[in-house]
Amino acid sequence: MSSAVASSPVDAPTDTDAGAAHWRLIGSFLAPHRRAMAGFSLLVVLAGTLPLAGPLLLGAIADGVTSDAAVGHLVLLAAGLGLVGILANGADLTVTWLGARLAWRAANELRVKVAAHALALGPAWHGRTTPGEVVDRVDGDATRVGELLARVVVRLAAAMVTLVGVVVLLFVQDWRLGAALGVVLVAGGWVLVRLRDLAVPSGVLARQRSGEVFGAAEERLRGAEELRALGGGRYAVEDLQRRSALTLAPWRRQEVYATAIWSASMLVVVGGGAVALLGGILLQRTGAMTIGQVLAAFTATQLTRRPLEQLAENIQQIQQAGAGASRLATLLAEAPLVAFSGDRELPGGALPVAFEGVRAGYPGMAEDALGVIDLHLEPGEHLGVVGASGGGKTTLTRLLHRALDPRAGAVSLGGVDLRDVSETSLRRRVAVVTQEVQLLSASIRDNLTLLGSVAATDDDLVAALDAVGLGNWFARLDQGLDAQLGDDAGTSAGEAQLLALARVLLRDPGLIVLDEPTARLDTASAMAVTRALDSLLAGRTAVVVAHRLATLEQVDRIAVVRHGRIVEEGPRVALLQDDTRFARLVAAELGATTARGDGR
Amino acid sequence: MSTTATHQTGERRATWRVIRHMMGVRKGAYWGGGALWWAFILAPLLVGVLLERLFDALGDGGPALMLLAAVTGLEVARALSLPLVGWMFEPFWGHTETVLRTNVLRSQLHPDPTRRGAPIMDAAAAMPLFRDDPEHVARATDYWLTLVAMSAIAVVAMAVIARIDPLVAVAIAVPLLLASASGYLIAPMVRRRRADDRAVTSEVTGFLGEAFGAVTTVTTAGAAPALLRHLAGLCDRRRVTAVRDRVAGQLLSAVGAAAGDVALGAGLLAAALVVGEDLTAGQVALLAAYAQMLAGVPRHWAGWLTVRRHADVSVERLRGAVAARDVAELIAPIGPVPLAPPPVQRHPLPPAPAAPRLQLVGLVTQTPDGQRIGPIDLDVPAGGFAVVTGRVGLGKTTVVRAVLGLAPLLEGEVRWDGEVVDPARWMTPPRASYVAQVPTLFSEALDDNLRLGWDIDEADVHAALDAAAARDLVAELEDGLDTRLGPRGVRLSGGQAHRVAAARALIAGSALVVADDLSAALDAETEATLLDRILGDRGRTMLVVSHRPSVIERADVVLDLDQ
Repeated sequence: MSSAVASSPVDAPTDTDAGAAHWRLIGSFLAPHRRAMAGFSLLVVLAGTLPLAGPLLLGAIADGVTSDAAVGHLVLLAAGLGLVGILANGADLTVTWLGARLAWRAANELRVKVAAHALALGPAWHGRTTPGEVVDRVDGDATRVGELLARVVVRLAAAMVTLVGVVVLLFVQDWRLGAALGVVLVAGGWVLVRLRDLAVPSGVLARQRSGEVFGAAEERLRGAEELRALGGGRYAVEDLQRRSALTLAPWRRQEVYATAIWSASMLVVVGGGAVALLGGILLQRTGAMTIGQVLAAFTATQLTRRPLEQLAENIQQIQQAGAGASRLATLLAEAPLVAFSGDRELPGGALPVAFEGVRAGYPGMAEDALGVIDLHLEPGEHLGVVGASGGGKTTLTRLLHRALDPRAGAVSLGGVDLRDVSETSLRRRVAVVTQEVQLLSASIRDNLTLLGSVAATDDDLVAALDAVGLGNWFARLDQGLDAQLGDDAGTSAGEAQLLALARVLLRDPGLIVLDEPTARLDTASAMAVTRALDSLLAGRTAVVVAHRLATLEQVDRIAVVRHGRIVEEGPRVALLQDDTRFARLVAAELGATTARGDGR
Repeated sequence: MSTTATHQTGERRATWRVIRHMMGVRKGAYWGGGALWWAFILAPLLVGVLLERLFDALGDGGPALMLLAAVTGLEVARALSLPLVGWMFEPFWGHTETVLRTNVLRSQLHPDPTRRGAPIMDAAAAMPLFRDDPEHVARATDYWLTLVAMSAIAVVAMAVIARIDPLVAVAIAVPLLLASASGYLIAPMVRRRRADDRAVTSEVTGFLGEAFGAVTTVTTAGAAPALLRHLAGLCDRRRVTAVRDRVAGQLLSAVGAAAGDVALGAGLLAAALVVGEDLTAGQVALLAAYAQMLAGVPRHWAGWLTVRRHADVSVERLRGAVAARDVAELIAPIGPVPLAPPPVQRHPLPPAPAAPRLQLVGLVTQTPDGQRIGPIDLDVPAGGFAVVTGRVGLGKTTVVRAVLGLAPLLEGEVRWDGEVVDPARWMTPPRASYVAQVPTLFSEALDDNLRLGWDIDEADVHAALDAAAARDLVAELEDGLDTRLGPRGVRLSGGQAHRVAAARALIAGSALVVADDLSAALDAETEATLLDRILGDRGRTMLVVSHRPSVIERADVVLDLDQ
């Protein structure tokens, strides 16, 4: 099969760069399976050759009929024809089976590779890509590429063998016949490939338009109540109708291309048949061919119909796979924001934090998201970060767990520049707790150890649950640690956050970064989380981002971040006593009337 | 048994009604394209006869070259007609899908609760309603044309073959009928394999969705390697089910193709035995051509069963989403579906009434999980500012939702300037507007998000942004009001989204504004600014949920659910 791929006109150097890129991707992901493919190729050759026996038998029958051969002879030939049909289709089915196996192996490897790459791309990339889109890349596109192999390339290979066989068959009859058919097939193949390349963009546009319809419909249903309460229902319906109508033109264009490809493949078969018949008729008149041989030659050319039609029917899959492969190539070419190359270990115990002359920003943005930051935290010190949203709080925390590297200056923990630290050490020693708790619908054990990435005994796990105050909740579960979250064990938002804290506790980190851990909780749950945090943070350095200033009652220092700079920093108690921004913020939250006066 | 049978008949009747209707939504495309398609499918019948003549002509010196020209000409014309078929037919698909999608959404969003379809709880699970189900209906309607043509082929081809000898026709029919019968046996197995594969596939996508939904946790906790190992394990399981599924899927057509070859063998065998010396080379060629055509017939018949079953399921699901499961609602006319649709028209908004006195009298409602709230009495003077407060879980949100008609009004009444009103129908702009606890903004441009189809002056848009303290926010956006929100545009933070939602509620100048907990996403300073501006002119009555002391302090009326 590898030879079929290599010699297929699709790989021709005239192909566009994008086209070449995705075929290179497919080639590279097949490379490890070379040996399996060699054995498989033999079978493909057999499956491609067997159907050729049909036309030969048919020709022999026609000759038998015209020369008044014995009935017994004809019966034997007719029975042979049926048998060949069964064998050929059996071989074809086996090719499908083995081809699918091979393709899925390769596609699965691709899938895991793409997933690994996507995980490493960092929060900025994930911020502008929805989980749904990532799943479509990792799963949808990898499957499309795999299906392309399993269904189309394998078929294409068998079809190629049949086509070559047909040309050889005609060549044996008369070299001019074979040569003429060869010309028709090569020209037809070229046209098919050009058409395919032309069709890809129209397919992308059509699918994108449809995607917008589905996206809009989903959004409207999600916001159905607000739409009704705001009188926007009519607008939403008219808008959906318009978006849906907008899909008509691109899909029509796409359909014209798809049918043109089908049409071209038919013309190839028609051309081949016409060549065989014309040559056959002329040669038969000179007595160089029998009527049976003409019929055999013609029928043989018709053998190309089924593979070509299948190819044409699958053209949409080819297009999707082509588009999918380009998207995957783009994704794999996307460089992660940070690359881990260091091998130093972070020291044990609570980690001191140092920002020295740090500026940071995101790729594609010339301006820094964070101005020059200098900040020092002693081991075990707790810092609260406050400020309006969009001011740079999150960017500041991202530097701490290396979701982002500084443009200038350095962030170091325990005296080690983060860029020199190994990924394993960083992940073990720095823990992050986010606003939205992210749980898997798996067992409690898998959620706590994150599928076994933390080595912990069951006793450790239960102890951690106790420590964060989930002891009673856990005691109610019949299946213990094996209880499936969601199915067996319901979790409120508060319990979910506590589970996240237990997760952190198990890893015994030296620095904890908390991003508004109680933002989405009601007062009672927020109190439970605050209690758990008290014990979790004891003896560890912590950076806490918060809107609700009540969360910050336990921190030692406060930094007010505004427009990418720390505009105020100091011990919490000291800041509260003076007329500082922080003091004003606290006052505003408490409802005092002195809150005014800090306009922009 | 009998009830399921009736149910199925009802289901089939509904599907057929939808299909029949769709045949007429775009008559030119459907019947024009369909007629060409029929010609395309049936032409090989003629080609077969021409080939018979041609090969006979080779034996008796007839006009073989002319016949060749006829065959080639016919086939070329047939091939070239295909893109035309596609071009003519395709708008039928889009139109059909648009009718179904539009009617489902209209039913879901209908202001009148009695004309609204049963709510779809899980928006993501609603995807089939807009993608797969309309497609299945269009496909069944489309496929019906093919079914008719294939049936015609079967009849005509058999009749032509029977002219050689009826026994030859029988010999060809038997293997094909056997293949059709085996199709009925194979089909359930194919479906089982498909179901197995779907189950594992959704496990893989579900896992990936969760893993990438939790990407921050996974990466910062160093769990990526463990996660990838788990993924590889799932993928291995899926490979097994996928391969089985693909082979099973191929089985039907392999059996069909093999049956075609066996049928040709059997036909020739019968011809050799029965017709013997009178059999001509042309007849051999005819049999070869027709056997190939006939081999496709069982596959297409089996295909119709699948297509029809999918359509039945889809129509059922679609009906479930429209009012009273009424097929008429599903196929209601929606007006033209042009290839180049004009922009959505904006509708004028009537002038807002004066700020009302809002009274809740013995109002009893219930939360989505069935907890009863109330009875509640509240009297907000015209232009007054009322705050609903109380601990979490007491139903603050449900109370304001009941005022808007979004939660059920079990007992009591809502009065507007003393008149009893039906909240679901009454509480919409320009009378009332709403800011939800977690507001939903849509992916389109900010401007469209704010207007929601209402024709509102530019000046009023800016005034609303001002009042909602959102003007700076818009000024900072690169494209201003034209900025698209959502995954492909700018992502607003929670606080920013709240301010935009507040502006959206103020834009219509509604006499009553209901806001559910602005405090959660806004810092105290921003919230105070926002309230200052909204309450500044007292031109509207306000009902808000809050637990912030600074907000409660400013209220004219407080409803404390703790008491």
